[in-house]
Amino acid sequence: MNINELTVEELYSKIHSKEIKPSEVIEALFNRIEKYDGDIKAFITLTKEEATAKSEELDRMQAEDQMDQALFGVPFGIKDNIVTKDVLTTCASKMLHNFKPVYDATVMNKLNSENGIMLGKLNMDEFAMGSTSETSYYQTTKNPWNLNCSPGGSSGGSAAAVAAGFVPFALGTDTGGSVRQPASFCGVVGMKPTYGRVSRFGLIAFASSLDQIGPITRNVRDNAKVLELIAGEDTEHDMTSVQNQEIDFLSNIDEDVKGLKIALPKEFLGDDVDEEVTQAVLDAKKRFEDLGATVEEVEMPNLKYVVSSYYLIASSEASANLARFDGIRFGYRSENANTLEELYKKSRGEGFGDEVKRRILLGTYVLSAGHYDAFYVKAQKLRRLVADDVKRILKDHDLIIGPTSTTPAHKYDEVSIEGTKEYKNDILTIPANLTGIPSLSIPCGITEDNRPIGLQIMGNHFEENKIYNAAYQFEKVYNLHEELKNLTMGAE
Amino acid sequence: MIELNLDRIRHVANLSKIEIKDDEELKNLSTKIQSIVAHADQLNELDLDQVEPMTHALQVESKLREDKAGQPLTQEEALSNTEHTENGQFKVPKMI
Amino acid sequence: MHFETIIGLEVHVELKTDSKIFSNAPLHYGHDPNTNLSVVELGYPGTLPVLNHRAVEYGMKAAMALNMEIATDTKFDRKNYYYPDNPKAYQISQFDKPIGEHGSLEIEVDGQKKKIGITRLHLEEDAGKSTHKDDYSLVDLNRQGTALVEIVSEPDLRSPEEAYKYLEKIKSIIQYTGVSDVKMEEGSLRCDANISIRPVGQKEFGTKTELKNLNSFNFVRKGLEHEVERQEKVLLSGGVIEQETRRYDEKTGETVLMRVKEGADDYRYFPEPDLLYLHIDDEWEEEVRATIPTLPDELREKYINEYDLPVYDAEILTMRKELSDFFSEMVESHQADPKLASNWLMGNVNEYVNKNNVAIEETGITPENLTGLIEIIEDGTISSKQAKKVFTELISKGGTARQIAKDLGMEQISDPETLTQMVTEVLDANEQSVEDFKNGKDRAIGFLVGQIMKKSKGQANPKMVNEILLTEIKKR
Repeated sequence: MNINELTVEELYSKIHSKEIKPSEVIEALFNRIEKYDGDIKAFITLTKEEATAKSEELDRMQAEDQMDQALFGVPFGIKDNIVTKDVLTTCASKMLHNFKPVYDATVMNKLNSENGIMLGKLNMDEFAMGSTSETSYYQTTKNPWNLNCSPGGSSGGSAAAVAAGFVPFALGTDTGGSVRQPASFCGVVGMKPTYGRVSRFGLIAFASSLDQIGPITRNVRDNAKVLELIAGEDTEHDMTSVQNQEIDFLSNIDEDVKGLKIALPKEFLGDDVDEEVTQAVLDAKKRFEDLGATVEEVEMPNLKYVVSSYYLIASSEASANLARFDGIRFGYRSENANTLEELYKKSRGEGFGDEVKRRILLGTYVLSAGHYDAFYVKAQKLRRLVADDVKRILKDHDLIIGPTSTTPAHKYDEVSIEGTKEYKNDILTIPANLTGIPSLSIPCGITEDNRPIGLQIMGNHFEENKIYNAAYQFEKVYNLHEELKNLTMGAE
Repeated sequence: MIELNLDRIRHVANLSKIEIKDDEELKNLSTKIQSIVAHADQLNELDLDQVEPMTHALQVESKLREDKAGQPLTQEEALSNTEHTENGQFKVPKMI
Repeated sequence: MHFETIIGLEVHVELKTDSKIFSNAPLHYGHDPNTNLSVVELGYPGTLPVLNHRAVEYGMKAAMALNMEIATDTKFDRKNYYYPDNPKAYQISQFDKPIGEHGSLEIEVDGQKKKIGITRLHLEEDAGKSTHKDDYSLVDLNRQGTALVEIVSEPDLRSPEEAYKYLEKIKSIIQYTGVSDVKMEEGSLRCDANISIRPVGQKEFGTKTELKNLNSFNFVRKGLEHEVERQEKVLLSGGVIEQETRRYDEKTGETVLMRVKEGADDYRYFPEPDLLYLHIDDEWEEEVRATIPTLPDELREKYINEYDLPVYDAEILTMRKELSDFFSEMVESHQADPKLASNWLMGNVNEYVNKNNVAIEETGITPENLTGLIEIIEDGTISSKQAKKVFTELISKGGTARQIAKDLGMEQISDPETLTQMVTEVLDANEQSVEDFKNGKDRAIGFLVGQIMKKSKGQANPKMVNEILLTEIKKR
């Protein structure tokens, strides 16, 4: 048995049946991490000591049959923009190179109370700004499928760690596609839940009205299970976390999808989309039809504006969210400052990387006197139009499908990374963030040169169960489970 | 189309309290910002006069917090992430 | 040239909630630095504001008391600026949809009533405090996140005196609603002023300056007076007023330049994405409205019209809620005479409270026992001179006036039977004096009274002794 190949559900049941001990799981996974993460570079921080201590405690509880919690002994990794008490939380930025929070994010409290075991903090684009994991101050994560490729981003470390078998699940965050796109590039399953589904308390904000935490797993059932555990209102800490919504993503997951009405917006298969991606999505369409669903072409006329709208809104919010990093109470503080003004400017000038600076400058510009109406307000109006598009489509359809990304994972030798072409790749994931609807990426194909392709499944607000149901039925007819097990994790 | 020149970006950097070391850095940062702003000009194609801006992804009723005080952080916790303190307070350089 | 003064006030009032406006951190005045904080006030990464229900209701209450319209849909915005006591580098405030708008209040200056418009009232979070040393500053964030309302007046005030009265009125109205301590000395009431002058007859406003650091009622008046003088001097000497922020220096009594404003500040307001729109329906509004007590203006009219109090009395009694509550209870629950009650409250009670710097409810005096004191003066049990002594005991120790008078042995003998007995005895023993009196020697009566007082050890009610004495002599 290869422990690293086991899913959340398998690990849980093998621990529960006392077939393996939590400490054995932890040891095996750290061995694997030590062996491969030097190349993959998924983790920024490993919490081996804490994890080992906890696993030993769980061993004792296992011996005494005290294993009531839903993640008993299951290891996981956390994107490094989610706050972990007393554990370095960097946002992959020099700005937070020394930041040890005094509190845990709500999702951490939930996972900890279910007795999951955190193995460490995962690499990302700095402050989640980027889609390649290259803007990290610390390291560039490699795609376990091909070390010459990017794992995507910003949750690149999370997706890579899950694909590499370092952890059975990880949490990522998604502001414009940052869970789904890396999931797609790494051949795993990633969910951006409905806005408000998961508490954002403890998620270091990039764009508050778009950010959501979501699970990355190797299969659909694990994903549904983890989301069940982290979802729920958090009235004490997050007013945007939504109350009184049913959290049950598994009980209908086995139902067939006969009669399910699926929409495929024709703009999602536009000229920008790679041929192989288009083909894989059309194959997926066929598979759904074979499963008894109908797939109908629809229009989402405002899709072409979403990237502009997204950049203006996200950068505006980010410019304020990142203003608190001033060198005074936490984080990087320049040694070269003699006045307060210098402390601000040098700490921020030296502590932030270029991409972060760009977005702060853009956001500040957008909000500044004389430009607010021309940019910010227009962007929010466009957002309304997209929401109207989505509402109209979902009035007649259960789900919307399309590619997750216009391309498979970028190769590092491609010039386009972090160029202007790159952010157009976000176009297909952005609508779900602007409108708050849930969206999942699952593997739906693989390119000739062995790069996974993701299918995006979107649904109505709080209808994650419909998405999981369809995704699970799809996964039965197409998945990359065997390929994931056989990754050699070497350069091509 | 709205022009975003380097002076304006310098001004914005000042508002954002971000030091820009030299012209080279300014240029490096500006190129992409300028291209996004230029691209955003496409929004002017649309007639948005009658459209209500959407500031939140989801419009739900807010449930307010009951006015009950909890346990505050200790002073030690509050100051734990900086070395620059004096008499239980955060220490900052002179204002001017 | 004669000038007209134009003043608008921005008044900040800290709300007396148990926890901060956006977190459950407690509120205390005067605690050790940085001990009343949660991660939210520290502006910690990952934290989010969660709006305090009571803070909203207090804001509504204050707005209603100032005759404002309450917004049906209100929202919060981020106001961006860097300062060490502003840890997120944005303040959560309300920009274009304040909770209250279009209010007013009435002031009276030199017997003239005047209505002052109030533009808006909005909710926001207070900032921390910086202390400046020689070459560095220290920051205490305890005050950060305290619920605050900002009340902005129209430029309707025409003199420092009017501004003073306006502020006094705001303080008393807010104090009545119970949403704040409104103590300038503790900073729970703060005031900035916008001030300009223009030649009488000119329509356009002059350039205004903003005046800060008006930390007491006195400073408000003095600071504004000085600023009016300064602006007049500048204009009369052919100068121009610069748009600038000035500070009142209490040592020199002058206003000093803080900074010149170069155009408008660019706060880059935008809607706070972490807080949802807040809908206030009629039901909620009425629920809150029902908790507003009778406000000072209305009480004042009542005291004047129903209780026949002089205007001055009515004004003093309605400055603070404790005082008018006390007065109303004396008159309404214990049937005290309004004018006598007012005299005691404005006189001895006020004097005691001020001298000892205590609140009226911390003393031994109650509406019931003060009314009791007035009663035993009126019914002749004690003299007004004795009353002073009884009052001193009463206010320091509590109890009832009658008991204290008794304990002090100062209760008069007013029982007709006892007095008649005494009179008879004295008359029996002094038949010659009775005879003298009947023969026209009026002086004899004085002697007889003296004898009776002596017999009663001075406690006989003199008025009654006189009456009984005359009756008894006639009988002989």
